[in-house]
Amino acid sequence: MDSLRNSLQRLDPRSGHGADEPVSREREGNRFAQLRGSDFVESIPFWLPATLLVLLFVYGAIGWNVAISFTGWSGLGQPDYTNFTLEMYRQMPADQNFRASLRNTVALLVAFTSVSLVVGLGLALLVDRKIRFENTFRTIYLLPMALSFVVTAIFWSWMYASDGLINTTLAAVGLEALAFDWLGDPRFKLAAVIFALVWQFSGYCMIVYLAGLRSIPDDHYEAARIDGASTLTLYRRVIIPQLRSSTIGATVVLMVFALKAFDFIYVMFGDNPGRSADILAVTMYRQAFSASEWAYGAAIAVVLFALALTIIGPYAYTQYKRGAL
Amino acid sequence: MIDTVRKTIEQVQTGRRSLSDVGKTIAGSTGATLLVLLLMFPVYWIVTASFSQGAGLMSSEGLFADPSTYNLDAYRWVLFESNFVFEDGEVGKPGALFNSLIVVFVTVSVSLSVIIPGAYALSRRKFAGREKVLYGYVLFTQVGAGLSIATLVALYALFVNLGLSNNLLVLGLFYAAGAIPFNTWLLKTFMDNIPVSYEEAAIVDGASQWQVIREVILPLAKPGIAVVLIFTFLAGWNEFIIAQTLLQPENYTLSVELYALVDDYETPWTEFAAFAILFALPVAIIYFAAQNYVESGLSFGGMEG
Repeated sequence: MDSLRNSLQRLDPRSGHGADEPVSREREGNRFAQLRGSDFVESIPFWLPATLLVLLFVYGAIGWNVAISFTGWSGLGQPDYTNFTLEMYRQMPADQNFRASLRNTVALLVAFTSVSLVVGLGLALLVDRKIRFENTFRTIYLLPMALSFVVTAIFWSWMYASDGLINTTLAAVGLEALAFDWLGDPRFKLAAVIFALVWQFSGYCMIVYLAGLRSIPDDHYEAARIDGASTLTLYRRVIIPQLRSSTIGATVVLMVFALKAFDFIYVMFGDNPGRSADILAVTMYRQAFSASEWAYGAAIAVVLFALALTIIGPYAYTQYKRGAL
Repeated sequence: MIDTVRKTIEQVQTGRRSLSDVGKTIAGSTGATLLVLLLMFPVYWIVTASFSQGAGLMSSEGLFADPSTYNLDAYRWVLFESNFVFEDGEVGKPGALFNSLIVVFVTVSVSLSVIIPGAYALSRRKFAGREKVLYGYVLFTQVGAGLSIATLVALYALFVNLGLSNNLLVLGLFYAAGAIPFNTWLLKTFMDNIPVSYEEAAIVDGASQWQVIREVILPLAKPGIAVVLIFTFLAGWNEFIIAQTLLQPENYTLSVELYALVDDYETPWTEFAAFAILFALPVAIIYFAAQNYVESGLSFGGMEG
């Protein structure tokens, strides 16, 4: 990839590596002319509007959110930006609800990501077996992901209802003992949410893995065959290791998604799902928009950002170091 | 189908294909079919519900409606009486569909008009700090934009102060800003794969900078642009919680309107199912019609990683 990039750069007449006349003239000229003729200035109109929008709405909103978290703003009225305090962060460790939702967020993150990856990999290996109607299968598997959470959360709550589809099916096959009140029982709430989310997102993992599988050169398979590798060894030693980058990419996307699995839980339970299914995003929403504890809500949002940064930061940094950007 | 079977048998007999290979293909197809049935069951169920005669869904006696009672009443209700197309079905008063379309139009047009030039600059111009801009983009691809829910408090404070909270255009603009980093990165990577020699040839032929972009880059980048178009459309169409928090009832988009149908005690299930299907239909059509574009966009993060 890097060599390709370098050769592109060498070919690029605008990169300044060539001995084109404008470049040499530029070198002789003064600093101002250099700046004016540089690619940086010339390319400003191309990327500035995009960057401004992102700065204003994304970075700006994040910054403001951090500021609000220091104000102690609650109830009606306006935040007081003159008096900053760390009070909001100080009260977090003692808050049982916060601790429960942090725990649930981490549990959701780990369980949802790992199960989705495993199911996705299984689906990809299955579909990669040159089955018939492969394209149709792929699209159907992917479809749940395209649906809005309002739709999926509602019909999963129908299915989970105590006399809903799942329990009726269990009863029909003689497994009444396993029919629980999935969304009412604190033991199963979070697991039920995770199961439904896996349903929705394993298709995404499948697509990522399938792209990874298809990029493994055929001769790797053949070489392993000639060496007499069994199918199991083939998967373990040849295929799975080469899917590493697919796994990392999908993991980052899924984990960050899990942090904001908010819509799903909010539609299913409202803004108070109870301690057993509370996640940080829902706690934040409840504190801010229901209890008017704006500053505390903002502080929880800051914790969410910090979590997301610890996930994506290292990933983006290694990409940056490898020059893959 | 029968031909395929005959050919396969022939291949096995002549030894061109091993029996275990055929077995694997059969097992794979069967497994895939079973999984499709399992995955799609909820969808099948919601479709039958939308045709059924009221109730039944939440009670054990009627999981499936009697097919002889199938009718289109629910769809009629959604299209002509609910707020889906017109408010309360009154022709002339634009309803949720119009609001959604306004938001999506702003999102798609604003994002495309800044993403295409941005991606071009990041792909072709090697200016100082380019990598850093990209790093900032990628870093906040997920953190900032994906986690828009976490900026909700600040957004709310900001928009309410400025009197912009109930504004569809501002909402569309916000979605666009959220969609920019990821999609710019995606399109930039796509443009990286367009050989520079094409541009050179055009320059040698005397094409201007703009002509190069318009006549070489844009046509070759079409598939990438299609992916961006789809993703930004979905971002605006499906988003729920920010719209729900910021908008007033007269400006509700489809997702918020759908949620408003849910009532703890008396949700009209048949109507809800019909509304949900009509709401999800464009998305499903896009997924089937533009399968390859969608998949290449989705697998992009994994491929590059």
